Amino acid sequence: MRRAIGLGVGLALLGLLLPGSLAFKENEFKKCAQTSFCSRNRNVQQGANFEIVPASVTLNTATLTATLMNKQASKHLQLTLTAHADGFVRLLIDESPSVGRYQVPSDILVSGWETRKAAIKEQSRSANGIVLTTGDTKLELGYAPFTLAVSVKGVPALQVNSRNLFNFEHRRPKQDSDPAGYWEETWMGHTDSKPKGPEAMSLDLVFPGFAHVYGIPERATSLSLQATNGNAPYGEPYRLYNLDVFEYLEDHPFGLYGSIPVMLAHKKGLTVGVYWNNAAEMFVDVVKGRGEVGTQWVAESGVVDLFVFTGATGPAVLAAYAKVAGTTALPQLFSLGYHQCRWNYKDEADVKAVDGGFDSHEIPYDVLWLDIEHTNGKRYLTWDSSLFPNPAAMQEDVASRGRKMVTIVDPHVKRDSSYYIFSEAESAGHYVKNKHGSDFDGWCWPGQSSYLDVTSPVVREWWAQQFTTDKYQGSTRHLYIWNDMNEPSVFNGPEITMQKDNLHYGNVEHRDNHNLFGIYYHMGTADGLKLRGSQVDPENGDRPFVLSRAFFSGTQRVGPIWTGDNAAQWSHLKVSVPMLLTLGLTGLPYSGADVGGFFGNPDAELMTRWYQLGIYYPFFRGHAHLETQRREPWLFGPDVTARIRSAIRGRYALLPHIYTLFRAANTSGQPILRPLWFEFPEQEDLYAEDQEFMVGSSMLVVPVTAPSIFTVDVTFPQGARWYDAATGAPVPPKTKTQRVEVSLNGIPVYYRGGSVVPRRERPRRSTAAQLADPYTLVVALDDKGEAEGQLYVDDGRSFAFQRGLYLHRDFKFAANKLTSSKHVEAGVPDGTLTVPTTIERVVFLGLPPSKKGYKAVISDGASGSKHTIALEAGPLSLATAPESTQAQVLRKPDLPVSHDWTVEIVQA
Amino acid sequence: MRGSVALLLLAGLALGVHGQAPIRGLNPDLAAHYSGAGGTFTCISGGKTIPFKQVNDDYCDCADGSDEPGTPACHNGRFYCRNLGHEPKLLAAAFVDDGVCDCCDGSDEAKGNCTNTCLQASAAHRESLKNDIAQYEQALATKADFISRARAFKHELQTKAATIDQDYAAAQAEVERLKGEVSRLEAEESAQRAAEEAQRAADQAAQEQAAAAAAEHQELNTGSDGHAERELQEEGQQASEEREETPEERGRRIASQWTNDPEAAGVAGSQEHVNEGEEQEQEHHGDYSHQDQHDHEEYNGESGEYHEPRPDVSTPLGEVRARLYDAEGTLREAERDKQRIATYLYGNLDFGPEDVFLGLADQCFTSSQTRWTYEACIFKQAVQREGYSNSVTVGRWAGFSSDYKTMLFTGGDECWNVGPRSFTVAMSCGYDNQLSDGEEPATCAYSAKFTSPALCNDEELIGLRNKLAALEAFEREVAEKIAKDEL
Repeated sequence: MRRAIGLGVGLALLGLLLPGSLAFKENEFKKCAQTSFCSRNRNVQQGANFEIVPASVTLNTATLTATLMNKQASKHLQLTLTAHADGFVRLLIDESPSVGRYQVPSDILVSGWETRKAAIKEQSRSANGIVLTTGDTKLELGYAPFTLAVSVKGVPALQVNSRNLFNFEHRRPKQDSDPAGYWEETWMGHTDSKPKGPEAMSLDLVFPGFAHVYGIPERATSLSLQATNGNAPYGEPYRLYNLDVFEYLEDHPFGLYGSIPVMLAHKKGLTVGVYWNNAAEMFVDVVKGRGEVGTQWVAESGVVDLFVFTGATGPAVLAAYAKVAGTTALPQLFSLGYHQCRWNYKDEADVKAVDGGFDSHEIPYDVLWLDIEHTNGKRYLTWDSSLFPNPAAMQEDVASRGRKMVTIVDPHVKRDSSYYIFSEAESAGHYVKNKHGSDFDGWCWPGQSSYLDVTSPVVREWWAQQFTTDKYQGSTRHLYIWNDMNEPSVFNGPEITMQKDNLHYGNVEHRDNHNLFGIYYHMGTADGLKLRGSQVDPENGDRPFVLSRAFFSGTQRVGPIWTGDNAAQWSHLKVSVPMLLTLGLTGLPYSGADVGGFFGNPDAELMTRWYQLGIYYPFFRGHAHLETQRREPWLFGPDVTARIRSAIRGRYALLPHIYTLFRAANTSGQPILRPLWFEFPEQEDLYAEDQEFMVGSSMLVVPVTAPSIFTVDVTFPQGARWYDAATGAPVPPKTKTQRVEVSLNGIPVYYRGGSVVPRRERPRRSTAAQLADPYTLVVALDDKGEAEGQLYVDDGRSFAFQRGLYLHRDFKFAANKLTSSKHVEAGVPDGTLTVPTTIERVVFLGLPPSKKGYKAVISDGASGSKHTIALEAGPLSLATAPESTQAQVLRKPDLPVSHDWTVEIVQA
Repeated sequence: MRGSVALLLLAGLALGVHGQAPIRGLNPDLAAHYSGAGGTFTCISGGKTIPFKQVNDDYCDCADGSDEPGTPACHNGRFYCRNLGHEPKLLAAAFVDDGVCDCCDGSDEAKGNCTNTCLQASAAHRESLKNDIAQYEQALATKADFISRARAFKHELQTKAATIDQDYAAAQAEVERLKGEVSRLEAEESAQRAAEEAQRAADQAAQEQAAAAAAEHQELNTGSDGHAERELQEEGQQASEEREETPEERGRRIASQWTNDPEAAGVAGSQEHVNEGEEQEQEHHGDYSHQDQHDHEEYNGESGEYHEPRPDVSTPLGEVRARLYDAEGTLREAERDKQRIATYLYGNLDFGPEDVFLGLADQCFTSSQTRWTYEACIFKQAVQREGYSNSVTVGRWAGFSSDYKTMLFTGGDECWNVGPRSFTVAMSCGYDNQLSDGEEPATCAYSAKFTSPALCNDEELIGLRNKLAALEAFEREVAEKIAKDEL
């Protein structure tokens, strides 16, 4: 195994001597200037080269077609513009279909929207253009040069090619005069053969009248995207190319593990979203000024397939995008609890000790994770039998306390003919091929590895079959899966991934579908757990839980992602907020950052603050690198244990609200964590805010992301009342900012007046143990003395909810009356589930002072009974401020959550 | 707690006296608060008073959770499991009625949901206590052995100390005398041999001169050849340093970013287990039994010296040389004794009460994690090693804490921005001498744990024995009650 010591090992030794000091290896990754297709398009004006041929323009109810000509090359392209009833228009530009340029397969998006078209009306036509309308949207197509302007109710929304940066490199025969980089490109010793030559496209998209754009994850940067013509590192365009980036920096335009080519722009009264449905490497420039945001998008291959969504606010745009890319799969309730992970929990005794540690420290958790060391030599779906001799019994033991386990399964397959996965896949021809057509051989954790070609539906189907309990030895129905390294990570490949001239199913080059590898692998694995679930519970099935690192548009339908290998640094804690907000704005809200930071050792204070913020991450997991100190929540001394316990219990208390938010994500694509502008779209001073954020629309969270902080200046969005979520104390009306004292015990969190938030206050050991617990409703009144909220309940586990086996209630407080009624939503089956659970406590915040006090007159619509209970001044929560009397508390009304009822508040 | 179990049991049974139903989950120690007098209950802390019917009504009224000992309603409530037949337990009230049987008597869950496992738990507890006692006894025997051996060793040194200076001087004088004798005999012998050699030398002189001339000529040639070869070699080396990595090397280099271990990726073979750390954890601490055989080497730490074989005694000169050889041995031993007397008798090292730690004096203990190995040589120094190459001194012996619960190594290698490294080892009673849990909780401040029989004490054994006695008495006592009691 010893190798000759060459340059490589020398560098590795350097790494040994300077641990941590090298961090992000910038020179391992390409910049625009080092990338032929980017450098030949970035900021390159095409003159008036692209023109619409006026005579070609044809309009059929919902579709406009035209010929787009590249004058210089006398090359004709096909332009298709369609309007869709779900609130968007689509612009397709391609060569003749016979050229066979790659298009993103239809299974990346959902179906249905293609046929739900909206009529396009012709308003006027001239020699130089045509003006169309669809609904509120006006489309002005200019012929020479080709431009498209989109406006909504007269407000400019988007301009295509107003800066003349549009380009479309058509396929061509090779010529001796071709510039370097057209047909071959070499970088860091890797030569890309580029057999199809240049085929890049440049999209010129200007957002007129906007100052802020958001989206295009994944990268560690601000929420409002900074211009890319600034100082380093912001002189580089944003990159969309899924890569395994070692020790990424916390403020950098560089692209990380996943890509969603979605950008949002927002101004008062209008939100615009664009989605370029393209999976090739992409660079996006942002420039700001002249009252607009200009963007240039350059992709290496594929076609132009641009979706433009418009709406008065963010929620409308996300709902429309969800019609195309789908919504968040409703997760199992357990997966919204706390996950405890480490590289690695080393053996069965370790698992037992950590599991027991949570109980003995009375800290709730739901899932214990096993990283790569649990396998036999990084052969996934096997066990190291000396460390895990009885994996099924171990899982059953953990499950006996209502918990689950997760094992890691990565897409690289160890090239070892005695390994059943390898040999089965090899003989079936399931691997990605190199440019010569033989099985690609790359290097990853197990050494020499091949990679399943999951872009093939046949391979995905075979892969899914590997997860049934009879096939995956040592697995049980309590075991779920984690897909890592699926960018794909190839240690000895260019930029730690696969060669672009590798070949996939259908003879597709890796360059065309690189950004889809991750979602397809994720999909195949989730299909496997679905298959297993259909065997375990043939009637209702079992919702899959598969965490992925790589992602693309549509990943939300498959499962959660996390932000990869972050570091135990305050800056990484801080950047986790804009990273997760951005994912929420691009349709992938089920995401989280590793609590504590993956690399390095967090001190007690960082650990505490990370948990206090992490409880609001939609995906909430603690994880750590192999060579870090152990950091289970009770290892930092009793004070810290108490603070972390209180934080995690806070998460569990909030789960009814979080699960209800997931239901909204599931039905209408709404984010869980929301930037302030998303909830307060008229307040321009909030458009760039990316530290404070909202949980749904009812809670404001103020992270503490620096050490030794004693006060925080909290910005309160205007037009709402706010209540301290620990004590219930109201924030004085019209407060814009307030300096708030903070202790180590918690970070500032506020209820927004006008909200009803369902909670479960009992600090159980897991979500399973909460199942029968009664609810508490927090009713935080707005200026009008009103509030509303929802509660969504189902079995938390199966697909029965799709048949209507769910309970969804609307709570509304108005005219001193709190009513519970059935929530009805178009497009989903009627909820028919009833549960025996009750509401044990209703907490009113913001009732006007009353000398005599209040009483509640309770009428149960189902039983017809009526009774009266006096309200008492008491704490908002026994957990956070037990002695507080800021709230008016309705004690033990025992309201059945399944019933219609009213609670009328009257003076006593 | 164990001793008072029987009393608690009685108190628990007495609860129903007032005719009211027993309060679920109530800790008998707190029963006085739950008399129900006046129809009210006052929260144990905080002073809030509520109607008594609100006790255990599945709604939390008291900030301290005291109104709900038997329901999961409160955050900080405590549920008392009687666990008849085994140890009572105070359970987090939040774990009541959650579908998991936490109390061995099953009282934390609805009737019928759990099986009573208290008797099994008690039996298992009794067995493990017995086992602990046996091991503890063994550890104390080992400790006594440490002490007696240390005493014998010191006694031996003291005996020697009385005469060491004289013994040393005598040995020195004897060596000097024999050296003189050897020189005299050697001079005689060489004079005789010189005459014989002179003739032979003259005969060969001419022949040697010719050979020398030839050799000089040859050396000139090979000298230049050798130089050329070296140059070639160096060029080759340079070339190989500048050559491109192989795909495998690149793969390994990138993998090593994540683990700082060039071997991280790429494991060969088909049933390898990646728990090398475990395997390395075999500690090469000394085996106490061999102290008997090699008592001398044990404390000087200089074993492994190589000595010439004793000279042949067939000639008179050989015989004197052999006597010198023996005398030198005696001198070395005297020297070593001197040193040991200085170190172990008059030195300022603290070997603990009754010199119990003296037995650890020449031993090194290691603790290995996945990447780092810590080695502590007690009374000397401690190092941290990475693989077999890099090693850093994390501290030099700085003594025990006054309670002998910690040993400290300070003044290790400098650490950038921090100062000298240090190493703190927490000691506790254990059945073996074992270093474990080596880590770096703060930059360049290292820590580990060390267990040894030397840290065990009689009180703990007595405590264990008392526990066992109480358990056995309790088991007898409740045996009858269990027969009657509904379990």
